[in-house]
Amino acid sequence: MAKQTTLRDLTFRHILKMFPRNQLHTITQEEQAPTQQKPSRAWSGRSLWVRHLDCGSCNGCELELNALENPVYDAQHLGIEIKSSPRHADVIAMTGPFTRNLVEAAQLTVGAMPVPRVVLIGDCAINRCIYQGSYALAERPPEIEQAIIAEVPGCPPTPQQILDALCQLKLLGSTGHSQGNAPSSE
Amino acid sequence: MNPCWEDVFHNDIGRWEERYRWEFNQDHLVLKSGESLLADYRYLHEICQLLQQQAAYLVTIVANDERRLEDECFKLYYIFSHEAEDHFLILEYALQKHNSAKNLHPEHLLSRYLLDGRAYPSIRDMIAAARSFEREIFDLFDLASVAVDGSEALASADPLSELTPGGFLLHDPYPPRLAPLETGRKLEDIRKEIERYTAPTIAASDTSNGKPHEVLLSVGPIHAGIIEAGRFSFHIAGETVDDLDIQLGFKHKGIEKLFQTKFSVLDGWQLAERISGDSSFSHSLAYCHAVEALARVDVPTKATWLRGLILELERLYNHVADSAALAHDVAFNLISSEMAVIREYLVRLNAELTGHRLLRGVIRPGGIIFPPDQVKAIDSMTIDRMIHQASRKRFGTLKDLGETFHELGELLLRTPAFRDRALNTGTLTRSQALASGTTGLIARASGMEQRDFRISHPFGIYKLEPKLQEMVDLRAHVQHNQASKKLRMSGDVFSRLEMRLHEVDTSFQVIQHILQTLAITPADTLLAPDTKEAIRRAENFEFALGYVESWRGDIVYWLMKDRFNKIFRCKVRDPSFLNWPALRLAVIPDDPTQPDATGNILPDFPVINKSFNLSYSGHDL
Repeated sequence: MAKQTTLRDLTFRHILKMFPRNQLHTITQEEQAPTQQKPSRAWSGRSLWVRHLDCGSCNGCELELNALENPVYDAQHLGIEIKSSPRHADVIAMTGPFTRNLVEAAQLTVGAMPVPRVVLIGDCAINRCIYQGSYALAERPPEIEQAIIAEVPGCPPTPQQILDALCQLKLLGSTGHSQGNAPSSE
Repeated sequence: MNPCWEDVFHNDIGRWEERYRWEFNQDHLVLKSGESLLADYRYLHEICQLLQQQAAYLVTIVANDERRLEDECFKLYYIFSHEAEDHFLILEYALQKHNSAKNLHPEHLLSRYLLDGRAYPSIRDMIAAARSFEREIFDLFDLASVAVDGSEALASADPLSELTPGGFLLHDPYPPRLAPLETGRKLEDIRKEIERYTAPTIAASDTSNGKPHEVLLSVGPIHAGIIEAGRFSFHIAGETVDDLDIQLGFKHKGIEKLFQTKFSVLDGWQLAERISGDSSFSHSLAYCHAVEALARVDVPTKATWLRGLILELERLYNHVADSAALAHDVAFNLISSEMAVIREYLVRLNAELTGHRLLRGVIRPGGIIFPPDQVKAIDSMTIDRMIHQASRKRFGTLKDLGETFHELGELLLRTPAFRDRALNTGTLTRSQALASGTTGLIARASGMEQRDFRISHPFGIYKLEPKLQEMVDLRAHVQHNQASKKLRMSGDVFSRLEMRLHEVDTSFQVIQHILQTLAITPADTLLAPDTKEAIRRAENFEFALGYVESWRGDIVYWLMKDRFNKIFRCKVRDPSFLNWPALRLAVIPDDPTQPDATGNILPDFPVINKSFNLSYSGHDL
C-alpha cells in the first residue's frame, strides 16, 4: 500500500497549498473514486465535531473560536459543531503553549476521545511563540504529540482561518487522510 | 504630603515620620520602612489598619528580590490607592533577617524563614484582598507571611499550614520552595529542577470535609465550552450552593520571569499584549505608561488621543461580547445573536483601523505605530467609512451601530424572563465588595461609583481632557438622572449587565468626543523620537507605575529596570486577580443559616460567572 499522507509536520498553509480550494472538490472525488487500492477509512462525513481544550492560552484564541458560533461565521451550517465532551468529538482544538499545571487534565481529555486527534490553534500552541523557554511550560506527552494532525497558525488566527482549516480537515477526514493515531484498519 | 493622605493620617504624621521616610514622585509617594523588623511588624499593622478604616484600597503587593542591590534583602511594596486622591501611597517594607534566637526552635520550618529574612507580617486579616497576593508571593518568591499579634506568636504560628493548600500558581508538578522569581536564577536551571522533581503520589484524600449529606461537585479544570481552565468545587446540600472553592493557576505561564529574562524595557509590550488576549491593548498600554513614567517620555498629544480611542474600542467590543454571552447563557438567542454580530463588526473595525482584530501590535513605548499599509489619516469620516465597510453596509456610521445596540440592550433589560433570571441572582453587596477589595466594573455595579481609575487616577487622555472624566463619572450620572433612568447598582447579575450597557453608551459618547477633536493626517508624528535614549538615561533600579482603567477594571504595572536596560522586575496586576474572590462571595449565601432565601442554585453559577467574566490567564500569569 502506498504510504499514507500524514499531515503531522505540515502547517495549515501547506495543507492549503496541497489542496487549493478550487481543486479540493475534484481531489475529493478522485480519492473517493473506486480504485484498485483499498480505500483508507474515512473518519468524518459531512460534519466535524470539535472539542476545545485550553492548555494555557492568553484567551485570544478562545475569543476567535467563540466567534465561530456567531451568525457571521455560523460554523454549524458547515457541519462544524463545538461539543462539550471529548467523547463526542472528532478533533480537539488545542490552544495555548501547554502549561505544566494542565498536563494531567490535557492527557485525560485527549485520552477520553474515541480516536485522539488534535488540531493546534494559534502560534503558541504550535511553537510556544513568545512564551518560549518559560519554566512553566511542559513538553507535550507522546500520546498527544502523536495525535496532532493539523496546525492553524496565527496569533490568534482569525475565525475565517480557523473555519477554513476545519473545513479542509473535514474533507480530508472524509477521504481517510490524517487518521491521527487510530489503530490501522489493515 | 498630599492633602488626602494627610487627612488619612490625621495629625499622626510626626509619629510616622520618626520611623519612616517619605519620598515624593510624579504619581506616588513612598513610605520607606525603618530599621528593626519587630518594630516594623506593629507599625505596618497600624498603618494598614488605618488605611483600611479610611477606605483606602489595596492595589497590589509587589515582591522584589533586591538581595544584590543596595539594601541586600527582599522587599515588599504595598501599593494603596484612595478614591479621593490622585497619588498612590506605597509602603516599602524591607524583609530583614531575624537573628534573635530566643523564640526560635531551630527545627521549626518557620524559624528557617525568619533566619533567612524570608518572613514578613501578614495583613490578610485586615485586608482581605492581600490574601491572594500573599499566596502568590509564597509560590513565586518563597516568602512566608506570618500572622502576628506579638512576637511570642512568631514561634508557635505555622505560616505554611495557611499558605500551602494545593498550590496557588504552582501546582503538584512543581517542587516545593521553588521560588522561580528570585533574580539570578536562569530559566534553564529552574526548568531542570522542575523536571528532576516527581510529585509524591498522595492517596485520594477524603473529600467529605463538609457538612454531613453535603455533596462536593468538582468542575474543571477543563470545562464544557470554549472557556479557559480553572477548577470550581461546589459544596451542595439540596439545591443551593453552600460554598464554592475556586482553584486557579492552571494557566500559569511564568510571565513575570519571562519579563525578567527575555525582554528589554523597549520590547516588553509584546509580552504584555499576550497576558490576557481580550485586554491586549489595555495591558500593553499600562506597560507603556510604566515605561514612559520611568523614562519620563512625553507622548505626542495626537498619539495620546489615538490611544484613548483604541482603548475605548477595546472596551466596546468586549462589553458587547459579554452582553451577548450573557444573553446566550439565559437562552435568549435573538438578542445574543444580534449582539454577537455587532461585536464581529466592531472587531472588524479594529482590524481595519489597526491591522489586528484584537488591537495588537500598534502600541510602542512613546506612542503609536501603524503598519505601513494601514491608513494613516484618521478622523470621524474614516471611522464611519470603516464601520460601513466592516458591517457590510448595514450601518452607515458608528453612531447607528451604537443606537442599534442600545435598543437591543433595552429589550434585554425589559424582558420579563431575563429579569426573573437576573434580578437578585449572584448578589455582591456593597460591603462585601468593599471588604474584598473588588475593583473595576464589578465594584461599580455593587455601588462603589468611584472605583474607577479614569476619575481617581486619570491617565493619558483623561488627564488631558477633563470633559471626558465628566462623561464617564458615575456620580454625575447618578445625580443628574431622574429616578427612571437610575442604575440599579445592587451588585446582582442584572446590575452588572446594566452597568455594562451603560459603559457601552458612555464609551460611544467618549468616542464621539474624541473623533470630533481628533484628526490625524499622515504627516503627524505619533511616536516620541528618542524613547530608547530616554530609557537608557533613566535611573537604574528605580521603579515606576503604569496604570489603565481597562474594560475589566484597573490594570497596574510596576516596573524596574536594571543597568543593561533590561527588565529587572515587572509585576503585573490584572483586575481579575482582585475580583476572583468576589465571585465566590457572590455565589455563596449571604446568610449561611438561610441558604434557600439568600443563596444561589447551581444553574445560576454560569450566569453569575458570565456576568463577572474574569480573566483566568490574567490571574494566573
